[in-house]
Amino acid sequence: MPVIETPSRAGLFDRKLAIRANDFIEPSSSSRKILTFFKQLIAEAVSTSKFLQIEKTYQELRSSLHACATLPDNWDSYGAAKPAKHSVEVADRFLQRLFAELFMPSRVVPSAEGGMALYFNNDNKTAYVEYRNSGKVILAMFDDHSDPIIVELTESDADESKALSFIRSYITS
Amino acid sequence: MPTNPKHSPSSEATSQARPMHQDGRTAVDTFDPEEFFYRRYAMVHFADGQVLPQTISFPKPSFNRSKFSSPEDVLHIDCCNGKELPGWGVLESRVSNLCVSAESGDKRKFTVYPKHVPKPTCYAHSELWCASPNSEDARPSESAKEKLRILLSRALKVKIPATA
Repeated sequence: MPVIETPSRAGLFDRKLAIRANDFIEPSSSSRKILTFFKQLIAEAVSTSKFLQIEKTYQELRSSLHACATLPDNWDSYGAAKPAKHSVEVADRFLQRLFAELFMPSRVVPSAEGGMALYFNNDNKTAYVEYRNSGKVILAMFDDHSDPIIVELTESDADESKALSFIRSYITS
Repeated sequence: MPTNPKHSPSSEATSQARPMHQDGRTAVDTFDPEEFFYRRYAMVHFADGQVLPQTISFPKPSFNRSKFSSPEDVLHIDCCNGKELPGWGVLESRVSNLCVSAESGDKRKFTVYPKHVPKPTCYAHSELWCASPNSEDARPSESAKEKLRILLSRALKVKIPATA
């Protein structure tokens, strides 16, 4: 820590100016250490805050998912089946995987086809993975204009990784 | 034939408190391309100004046709199998915009077309059927079905916003 002596009244102004000027011209090694310390502290705080944001999103999405699990049959009034327990479980497993990768979807939505979908958005690009009650898994990627890209997947770990890779590449490109 | 005056200027005007019942009428198979289709929705299926494809299910998603109904009719219990849906909204699209096509992986083409399928308490009830070169009632492949859901959701716009 820089030590600043209590100066006599005479020459106080001049001494302060001298200290400040000196700091600007050539910081002492202790000043440099303090600067580095605070820079690191700020970087950590930013990083921690981002993680906390992701964790908050994760908790909110899990709550949405579990709320969807309580939907009754015909919840859409057009005869949709309620999301099956299995569909909710595989969607939850994917959500946990995404959280581990710090790559979060924007929302969780029940599907009128019967099942659950996880949504990803970036600018005008959208991607979703839909876990159907039938056990089918559909990955869709599209924007406002082009032909949608559809990939049929399974519930296997390998296809989960494939879905993550496709979505990350599409959304962030 | 009484019709909804809003989107069919040449039709006979009616002011109905409830949706038109079938009352022995038969289906009307022709559709004006400018005619509208209406479908109810909940807020969960609308995000960032877009209708989500998860609001559509196959086969034969249901709509009300504007020739015989107003947008609000689609929320009336007579058109919801007796179910009350407070806070739900209404989506709309011109019929011509809903006649979308998609190809499956094996290059089979599936095209959506409108069909009037009246119900006793909801004469305007209609469906979107799917045709392939071999059938007027085809079941699209999974990939074609998903493309159709996305194209249909793109065509649908909010007519009455949902609040629930």
